[in-house]
Amino acid sequence: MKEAWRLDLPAETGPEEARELEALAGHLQAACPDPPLPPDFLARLRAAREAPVWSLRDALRRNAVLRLAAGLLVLLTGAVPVVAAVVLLQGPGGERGPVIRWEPPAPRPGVEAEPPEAAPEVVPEVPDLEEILGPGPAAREAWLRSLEVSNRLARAAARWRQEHGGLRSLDLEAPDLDWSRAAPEALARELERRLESGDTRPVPAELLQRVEELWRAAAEGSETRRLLRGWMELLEG
Amino acid sequence: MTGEDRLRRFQAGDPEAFEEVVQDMGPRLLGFFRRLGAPPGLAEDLVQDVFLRVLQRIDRYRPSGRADAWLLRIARNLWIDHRRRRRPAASLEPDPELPDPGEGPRERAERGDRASAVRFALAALPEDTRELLELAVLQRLPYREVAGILGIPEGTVKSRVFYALRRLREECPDLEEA
Repeated sequence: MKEAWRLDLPAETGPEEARELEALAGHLQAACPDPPLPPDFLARLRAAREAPVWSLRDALRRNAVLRLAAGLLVLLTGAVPVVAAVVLLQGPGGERGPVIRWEPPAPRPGVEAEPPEAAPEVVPEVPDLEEILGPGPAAREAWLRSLEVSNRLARAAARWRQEHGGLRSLDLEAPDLDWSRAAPEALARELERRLESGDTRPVPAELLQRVEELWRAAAEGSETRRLLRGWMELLEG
Repeated sequence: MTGEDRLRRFQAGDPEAFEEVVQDMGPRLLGFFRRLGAPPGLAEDLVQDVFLRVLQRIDRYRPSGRADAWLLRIARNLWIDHRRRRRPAASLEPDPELPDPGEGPRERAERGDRASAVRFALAALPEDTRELLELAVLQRLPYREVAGILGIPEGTVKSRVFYALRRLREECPDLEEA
């Protein structure tokens, strides 16, 4: 048996206000009666109750393909974080292989491949004492620079011949040019020629001067700079 | 026979008990949805949904609690779900039973239409206050059950009911004179 409803108000409510609020609650209850259910409500409820309700559990119980798909989905959903965690725990892998690899062409059958040329020995050029003590400080500096370039050129030529020797057909004769007016293309050809032929004779000072002059005048990323980059590497070490 | 007895019988396999629950609680649930602002057709659909949910979850009902509180809790959850899905539609649909908004509670009370004035004042309250009065006063649930449904302490229910009635009294002061 349920207890009769009565309005429960805070203890500090005065008796007069409590009476007013209780009366108001009574008014409210009287003013808001519950509307009746429509006559066909129970029939509609029965119909709705009997209507098949789709549920995942029932569908999985009945359909094997759906079960398989759901299993796969659960497996993949679970596998993704596991794989991610494993990759994160392992950290970045070791050295990565090159994306593209150049393989030298295989020798034709019946043709014997030449044995690879032994790495050449580069002996630095050692000047005489008189040469070092030379005519004057400015000339000595230019001479020393030319010597440094020649030595670097010798190393580069040795590396060049080992790696690219004979791959390109170049005119190996030293050109007779006025280097102080040479174009970037001519300077680049001269560097290639020296590398290919192993010509490590001292580089004329006017050639080096011309290279620097053109380099300074050329814009960053220009064709001239591209052509002269090899010379600049020899110059700057 | 109480609602709890009927639900127990239904749990035990008596289908008539369920129909008795529908006859007993149906109008209360319909009033609940209508007063919260559901138009008649939607209110009937929601009442139907409450009973369908009762059918699905009858095994979860524990006879220790009041049956009407259990059904009203289901009803409130359905109402919240509905409001989330269609918030603007529910508030924009006209309610034919609500009084003309051009006329205030005072005018209605003066005209002698006191019930309409109270309904109007109730409809003018904020939704959470209306919901509180609906459960605690109109559905006559004990504060303990109201507190369980709204997820607030019982003492808070008591003080909020007090302030809600005070506010309602301010909205229609002529009722006291009447």
